[in-house]
Amino acid sequence: MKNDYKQFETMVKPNYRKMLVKHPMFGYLLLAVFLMALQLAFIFGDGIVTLTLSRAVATTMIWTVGAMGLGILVGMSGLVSLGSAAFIGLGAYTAGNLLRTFTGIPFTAVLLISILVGIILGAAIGFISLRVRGIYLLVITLAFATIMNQLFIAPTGIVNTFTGGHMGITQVPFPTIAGFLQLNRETVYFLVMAVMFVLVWITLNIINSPTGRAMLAMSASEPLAQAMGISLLKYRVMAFVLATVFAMIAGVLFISSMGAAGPLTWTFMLSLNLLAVVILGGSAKPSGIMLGAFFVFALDLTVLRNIPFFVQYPGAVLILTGVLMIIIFARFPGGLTRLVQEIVKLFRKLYMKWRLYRYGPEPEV
Amino acid sequence: MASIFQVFLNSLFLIGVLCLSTMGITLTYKTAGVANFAQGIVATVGAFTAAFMFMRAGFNPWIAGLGGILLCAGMGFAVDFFVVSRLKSGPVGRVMVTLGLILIVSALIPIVFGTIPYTYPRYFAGLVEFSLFGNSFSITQNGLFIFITAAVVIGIVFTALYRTKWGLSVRATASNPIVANMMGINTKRITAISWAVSSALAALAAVMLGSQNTNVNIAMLDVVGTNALLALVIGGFTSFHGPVVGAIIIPTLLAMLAMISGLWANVLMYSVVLLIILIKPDGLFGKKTMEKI
Repeated sequence: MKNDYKQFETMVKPNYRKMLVKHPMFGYLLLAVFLMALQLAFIFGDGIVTLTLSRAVATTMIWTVGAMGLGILVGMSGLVSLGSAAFIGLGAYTAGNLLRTFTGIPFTAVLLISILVGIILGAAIGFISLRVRGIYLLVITLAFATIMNQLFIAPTGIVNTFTGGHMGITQVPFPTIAGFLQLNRETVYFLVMAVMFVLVWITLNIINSPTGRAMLAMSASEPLAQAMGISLLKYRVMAFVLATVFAMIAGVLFISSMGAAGPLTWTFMLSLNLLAVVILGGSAKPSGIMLGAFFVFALDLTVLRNIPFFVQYPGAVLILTGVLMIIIFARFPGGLTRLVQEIVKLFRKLYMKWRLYRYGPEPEV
Repeated sequence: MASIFQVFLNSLFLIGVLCLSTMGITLTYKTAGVANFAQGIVATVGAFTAAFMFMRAGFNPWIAGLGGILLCAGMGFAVDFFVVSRLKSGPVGRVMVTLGLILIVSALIPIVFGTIPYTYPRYFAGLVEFSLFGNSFSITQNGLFIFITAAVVIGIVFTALYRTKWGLSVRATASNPIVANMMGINTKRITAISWAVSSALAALAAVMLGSQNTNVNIAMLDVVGTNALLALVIGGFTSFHGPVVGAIIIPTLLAMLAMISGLWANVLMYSVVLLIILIKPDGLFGKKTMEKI
């Protein structure tokens, strides 16, 4: 009787260790700890982590935020956009002007205003895009981005005071958080990291929500989704709003951590690179986006620049990235996520073979 | 009115360049299903080769231009043969492959050709002056030459498309590759040849642009590439003639709008293009395509 009770207790008693490991955010938690340790090593240890590496990681995190929004658009809703770089730029200019004009403005206020602008613009684009799809959508967003880029380099007028024309905006102070904590060049990294992981959590929740399911249905077939009672208008607008808001937040983070921004950053190439991140990752999940972002933006500065050959020939980095990209697109349509899964499967198979060899076949019960 | 016509004459060469470029993009889009963003940079290689042959190897500019165009045709064929025809990914993945190509080629150009500026001569140096209804107009001979060449080449391509067996195969492949393959058309070969022709057309555009600007640089075709895609979309890509009309509309529109406000001409032009796409989502000459569920 007593024994039975104990057995019952172990059954009901939650296994906290297992719950933690199985939690969807667990991998991201490990990554957060690692990234935090990296920056702490940069601040306190001298010379273990270089400035280049710290900067590269921070920039990659910023682009990851932008790419996660694009992931919701491309990976989940089956839509496509080449305007993300322009929206990141708009976010950067909005936040930069707010931080410059109102000194000591809380970071939350800057973030909220930028999000509001993002919601309005994203809804507008969502409504406009309702009639078009496929390559038309690609070209419409491209035209929109080109208009914004032309406005960014406006030499005169009220737009110029906002964007600074070709010079861009400079000397933006680092933001203050929680009313008193003035960030500096090193600590702003943690702000970027925190915002990114909050957005990862939000994205994971969106993917598993009814909204996410509706978007997936829409990407599979728009007429069928409509026949199932899914409002195309609602979810298209929602996808564009999310993508635009994420891009605006990426812009806010960019200006907060760099302190300056010029129009040469928000080019067509950045939009294409962000799209490449999503497609290379092969999944709308943040893990896929992060893999893709690491490959496109960080591989160069964190790994390749430490190899003497690439230091001697910097052009070779671009060639290698291009060749790897083409190979992955040509041979692995599932992207890097799929590639990693295949590799894990291979290792598991090898381990089983080794176990069979070492311990013999498992006894049959 | 007279000055508007003069502005139009000044941008006549741009119409020629854009028509050639758009025709190239249309061919690859319709046969291989790839919106080729890398076309501009591949064509830039052709212009660089021509400038290299002219400046360093001392060829005359006509042979140099032809050399650049032939090299580009070879490159287009190689891209299709080694990369695009072996792809397993979807439509957006196919676009992304051209991004990888942009990275590779734009890194290779400074390595192969060096970083010094290249110049390229105008084929004809003079001006053509004439008077019409009492107003006098002028156009550079080179600009006129570019426009006429483009018109002739586009004419040849259209004749080939609608009067030869190759053209019939291309149109069949464009309308439905699987059925075309079943009917005994070697779609792989047709696609590869289309890539070669498309790259050659783009290289011709690049060489012409280089000769009009008298120099060659790595960013020379960036705007042309974007505008060619816009032309493809506002013309509608269910037909072959629609994109060419689009390519005529865009520089004309830009010239007109530059009269209103030189500063905001680009912004206005792209806004008008956006409006056109919103009003006619399938393009000016496009037919609505039905989808079977």
